[in-house]
Formats: sequence, structure tokens, C-alpha cells
Amino acid sequence: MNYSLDGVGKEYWVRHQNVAALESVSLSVQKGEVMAILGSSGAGKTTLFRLLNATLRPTSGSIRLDGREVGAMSSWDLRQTRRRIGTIYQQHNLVPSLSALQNTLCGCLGRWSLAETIRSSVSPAKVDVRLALHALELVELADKRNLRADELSGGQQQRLAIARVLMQNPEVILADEPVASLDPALTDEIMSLLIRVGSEGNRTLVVAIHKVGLALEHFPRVIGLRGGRVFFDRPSAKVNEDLLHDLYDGHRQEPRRIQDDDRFERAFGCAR
Amino acid sequence: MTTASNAHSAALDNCASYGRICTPRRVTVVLTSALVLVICWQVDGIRLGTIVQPARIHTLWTLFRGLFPPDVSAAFLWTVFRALISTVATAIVGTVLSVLVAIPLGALATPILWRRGILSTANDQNLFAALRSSAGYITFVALGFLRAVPDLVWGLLFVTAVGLGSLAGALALAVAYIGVLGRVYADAFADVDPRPLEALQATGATRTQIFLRGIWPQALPNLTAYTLYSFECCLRAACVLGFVGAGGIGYEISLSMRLFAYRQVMTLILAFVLLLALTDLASKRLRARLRPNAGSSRKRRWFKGRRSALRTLGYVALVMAVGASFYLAGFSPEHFGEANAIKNMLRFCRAMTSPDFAKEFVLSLGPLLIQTLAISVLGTVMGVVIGGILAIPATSTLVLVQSDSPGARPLAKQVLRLSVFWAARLLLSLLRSIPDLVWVLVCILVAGIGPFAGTLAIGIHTAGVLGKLYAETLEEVPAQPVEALRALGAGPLQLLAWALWPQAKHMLTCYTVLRWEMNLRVSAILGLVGGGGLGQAIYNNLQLGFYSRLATLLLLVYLLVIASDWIGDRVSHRMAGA
Repeated sequence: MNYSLDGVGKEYWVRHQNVAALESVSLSVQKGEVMAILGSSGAGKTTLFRLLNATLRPTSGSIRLDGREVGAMSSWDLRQTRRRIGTIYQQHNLVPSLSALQNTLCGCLGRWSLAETIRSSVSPAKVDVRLALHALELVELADKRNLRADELSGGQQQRLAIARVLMQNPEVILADEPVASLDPALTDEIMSLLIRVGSEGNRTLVVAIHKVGLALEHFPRVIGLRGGRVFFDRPSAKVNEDLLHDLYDGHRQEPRRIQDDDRFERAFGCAR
Repeated sequence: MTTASNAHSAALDNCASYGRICTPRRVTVVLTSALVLVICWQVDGIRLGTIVQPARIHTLWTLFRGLFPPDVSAAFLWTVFRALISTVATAIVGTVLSVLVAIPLGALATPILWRRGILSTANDQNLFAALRSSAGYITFVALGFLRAVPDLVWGLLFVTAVGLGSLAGALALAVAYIGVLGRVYADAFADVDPRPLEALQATGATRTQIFLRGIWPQALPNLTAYTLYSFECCLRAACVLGFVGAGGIGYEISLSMRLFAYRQVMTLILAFVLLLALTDLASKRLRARLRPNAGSSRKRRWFKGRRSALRTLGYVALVMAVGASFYLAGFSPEHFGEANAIKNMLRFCRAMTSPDFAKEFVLSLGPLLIQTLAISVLGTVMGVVIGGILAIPATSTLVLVQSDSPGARPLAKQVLRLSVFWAARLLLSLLRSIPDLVWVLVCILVAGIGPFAGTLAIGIHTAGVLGKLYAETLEEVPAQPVEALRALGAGPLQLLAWALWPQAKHMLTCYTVLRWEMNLRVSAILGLVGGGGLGQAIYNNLQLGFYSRLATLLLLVYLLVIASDWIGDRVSHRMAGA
């Protein structure tokens, strides 16, 4: 799937004022591309991911998937689109009271018809169970299939999330700081698993990450976000120390408050 | 590759139940519940045919048409106003009296103060300590009895003792809520942090001092919240008590209902619903303000500057309202001085200590007991089904489009979604706010006097109560898993089955079991207005003055309530464990 973002901005209404999480972000991602997103906390990474997986409406600008405007899709088209995008979150995205196998089966939801959904609520079809077991095997969790998701450790939960994405079999995999809550040994394991999964089947892979070393080592293209704007977008070979220093400088930057005259300018298309 | 597929088939064999719809356990569960339902169906004498008869439908239609337009003539509005005031007064008096008695009784029933825990030391083992501890235990059991006898039955008793009117209602509420609040207060006292108590004891404080300085300040916020909540419950109960002649708005409703003046019924119900909504709002506001770290807005700052003056004003208003309520509820010396009232009370109390255990009487209660159980079970099942179906369109997560979700939003679709959501919410709150006894009166018109009407009434009211609870519970499940499934393309029904239901199922079961316990109490008294079950026998024996038989019946209700509490606890625990 090809992404093209054009002047995308997103504001939130926080404590009686508008706060910009993203401002005029323009970028395009080609099918099969593998890239990392760097940036300090509050730089807008999570917002960007929610825009990319078509669950958030931008305040301004347009997002196109394969040339189709997301804002104009019907709810059915939207579901069909989301089905092609798999997301891995930092944490808390599994259904805690379902077993590992059931959580993996959730990956099928987008392609199940109404009849299949009803049937699977009672007892899932053998074909799907077989696929789910295969996915669990790939992330080495097959023996934990009957444990509840909240009985698994942090690393196991993250692998289970990957199994669910495998089950979903999407064209794009978005991973929002998938290793932020894990220890270093697990970090390597999960990262290489992600990259392996991404490279199979020519999937687009976008990973937000805190660790610069990992990003430069594994990803050919790196985007730096700072204060809700794209600070740099270049091949990892061309990312140098100074750039990174600037990226994380002003680290505790407060999100910028939108001024009224600011909005006025934007409404009339004035350049700032 | 071969090893991998071998592993798969081995795993598949291990979890052989996957892909099979009929597992032995499921078959057993389904068959057992079907059997129970069929028995209940038979016992309740359910004849669906009677409802769909043209004549019945016509009656219902006449009733419905008769409700509009509500009667708003000045004379009747004045009646409604007086009835409202009298209901509120009854509730205030009932709450005040029950609080006054429940605080000492609650303290007496608090185990850590008397029986076990840190305050009972080894050198405490003498006769006095044993006496004290047994007094506490007896209080505990007595509170349980007061709570288990339905407030409507207390209402009937006091109507017999002191005559028709608000006084009977106020006394009945006081007695019933002494049981409720005593228990709740005892729990609140027992829940305090024990370490300060130990410290106080080490300084040589007496039990009274420990209670006043250690327990009371810690429990106060909870006590206030519970008391406010119980006032709301009292208000509802005060309305319902009118049905047995204890004055107020319930009395007016039953009167208008019997006179077939449905337009008046509509006005009365609207007034009652409005009163409940206002009380709900006021108590929510008050509870929010009592919370320790309530946010400070500009309005609050305005209050802050004038706090002491406002507070004094509030206290004066409160005292005046309570005084006026006592006056309105008919508390006057001559009422109690009447020889008849005292004699009735005494006769009643004496009879209460000697229940009638004659064999044929006890045996005759068997069918009524089973009928009561069947009404509660079938009514609850009906409520769960209807409420569950209505809860789905009333859950905003499933029906409404989130405001920041992308995609096109045709106006027509948005309007449709909003109207479905609000229609479901409105219907649920309508079913819920009309008291179950009013539903019995309506259902009698359709199904005739008997357990069928009772079952229908409980089912309709429960649908409203549970539907709202279900919808709120589903809306409040942790959002991240729901978002994750939405992001991978799940539709509303799939979200319900795979994200909302698994996360909410424990809470939903607990609410349902709790509601069944309440319905059991209700179905024991529905007979008072013609809904079948034990209530009919209670009513008859009270009217005939057979107080020792009444004592047996009340004992039976008590046992029933205790048993249902026990079963409910066990089911909830099992669900929590599973």
C-alpha cells in the first residue's frame, strides 16, 4: 500500500486550549518500504501512527492510501482498509481475558463475514485455528496458547501481538515503540522477529523507536519528528550525530499552543 | 515442515473442543437451563396466547391511548403537588429516623470493636466480654431480619397498626432502612484502617473513645455517601409504599389506576420520574462536592468566599425541612396515644415470637414458595434477554461513530445512529423509572391476576435496569484492546463479541445475579397487588389478623433472602475464579 500524507496536522483539545500534536507533515511511503521513526516523547509519533492506521481524523491536510482519500471513505471501505494495516502497540492492546489462541484469532476479524463471526464466537473453524496455531508457532508461543493474555510476561505479550498481526496478514505493519517496555535481550529478539516478518511478503514496515542505534542498524530510511514536525527524512547512512543531537535537543519542549492569529493565517492560506 | 504440521495436528488434538459446537459441558448446561425454564414456565402459568388475544390488545391500546394527554388541570396539579410533598416528607422522616437508630446499632454490630480483631486481647476473656460479643452478634442478625423483610410488608404492618397515611410509610421506611443502614454502617466501620486504632488503644483509650476518635472520622466520608444514596432509595420506596395505603404519590397512582383515570396516572408518573431525576442530580452534585479533591472552578471559588454563611443557611434549611417533614408525616402525640395503635402493635409483636408451624399451613406454603422462585427466575431471564438486546443499541461504543474517527459521515447516517442510540436509552430509562408495582398493575390488565402478570412486570422492569447497567458496563471496559481490534478492521458486532464481552463478562454476570436476588425479594411481595407468589398469602393473613401465620411467612421470606444471598455470593465467587 502506498501512503501519501500532504500537509497533515492534528490538534487536540486539552485543558481548554488547542494543542498541536502534528503540524504540516508531508511524506510518502512506498509499498514494501522499511523505515524507522525517531523522536522524543511528545514529538507526535503515536498520533502519526493513529493517522497511518486510519483510526484518527486529521485536523488539516489529506491522507491518501493508494491514491484514495481516507476522509472520504465509507465506514465499510474504512474497515476494508484497516484490515490491510496491522498495528503493534507499546502495550495494553491484547484482550486480557481471552486466551493467547483467541487473541491470535482476533486477527481474522476483518475478513470474517457475519456468519463466521457468530460461528467463531461459539467455536472457531478448524481452518482458522490451524492458521492461528501456525502463527503462534512462529513467535514460539504455541505451548502457551491456552493461557490468558494477562498471564503472559511482557515479552510474550509483545510476541502474541505479533502473532495477531501475522494472523491478520496485512500489507503494512505499523509498530509504535514495540520494545519500549522490554529489557535489552528481549528488544533484540522482538526487533529481529519484526524485521523478519516485515521482509516476508514484501510488507511495508514502519517502526517508531527510542533507540537510535537500532534504528540506524536495521532501517534503510529514518524519519525524525520534532515538536510535531518532520525534522529530517533521509537514508540512515546520511543521519549524523549533529542531526540526532538537534532532534533530541529541546527535549522537554511543550507542545505548542495554537494562537488565534495563527489559525486565522492558516484559514486564509497565508505563509507563516 | 513435516514436524511443524505434526506439531499442529498434535496441538489440534490437544484442544479437541476447537471447531466443535456441541461439547458435553455445553449440552449439559443448555439442557439443564432449558429444564429449569420449562418448569418455571409451567409453574407461572404462562400463556402467551392470552396476551395476543384481540380483546387484551384492545385493553392495552385503550390504556395507552388513555394516558394522553396527561391531566394538567389546576385542581389535579395541586393534588399531585401535595402528594409529592408528602412523599418527600415520608422519605426524609424515614431516613432521619433510620440514621439515628442505625448509627448506634451499626457500631454495636461492628466486629472489630467487640468480637474479634486487634482490640480483643487475651485478658479480655471474661463473662462481660462474652456478653458484649453476643450482643453484637444478635444485633447483626436482627439487622439482617429487618433488611430481609420487604419494605412493603413493613408498610402493611404499620398501616394496620397506625392507620392509613404517611405516618405508616415513614415508620415502615425507618424500620426497613435501619436494617439496611445498620449493616452498611457496620461495614464502613469495619473497613477503617486498624493501625490508628491500635495506637489509640496503646494510649489507654476506652472503646467509646476509640470509636469516636479512631473509627468515626475515618468512616465519615463513606457514611455520608451511603446515607445520601439511601435517601434516594427511600424516595423510591416511599412512592411504592403508597400502594399499600401509606400515602404519597404511590397512593394517588393506585387510586387513579383503580378509577381508570389514566390521564391522571400519566401526570403522576411524569411527576414522580421528574422528582427522581432531580434527586439523582442533586445527590450526584452533593457527592461530587463532598469528595475530598473536587476540582475548583470559578463557581466554586465564589462559594468559597461565602462558605460559612452558605453552610449556616444550608443547615438551617435542613433542620427546617426535617421539622416540616415530621409535621407533614403526621408525627403527633395523639397518633401514638391511641389505644388501638398500641394494642395492635403489641399483639403483632407477641404473635411475631410464636410463628404458626401447623403442618397443613406449612405444606400449603410449598407451592407458593416455588411460584415465587419461578417468578423471580423467569422474570430475570426475560429481563436479561430484553435488556441485553436493548443494551446493544444503547452502547455508544458500538453505535455512534467516534468524533475523531476518519472517513465520510453522511448526515442521514449520523442522524440515524444518534436516533437509534437515544431511542434505546430513552426506552430503557422509561422501563426503569416506572416502579415494578405499577408494571404489575399494567400487566394485570393484559395477563389477568396471577403469577403471569408478576413475571411480566418483573421482566419489563428488570429489562430497564439491566439494560442500562449492561450498556454502561460495556462502555466502560478498557479502551486500548477495543481500539486495537477496531484498527485491524473489526466491525461493531465483532467488537462486542471479541473485545467488550470478554472484558465485561464478569461484571455483567455479577450485576445479573445481584438483580436476581433483588427480584426474589420483589416477587415475594408482588402478590400484595395481585402478582402471585407469597405476597398474596402475606396480604390475606394480615387482613384477617392471623399474625402468627404472618410470622411464619416473614420467617420464610427471611430464609429465602438469606439463601439467595448465599447462592448469589457463590455464583459471583465462581465467576471471579473462572
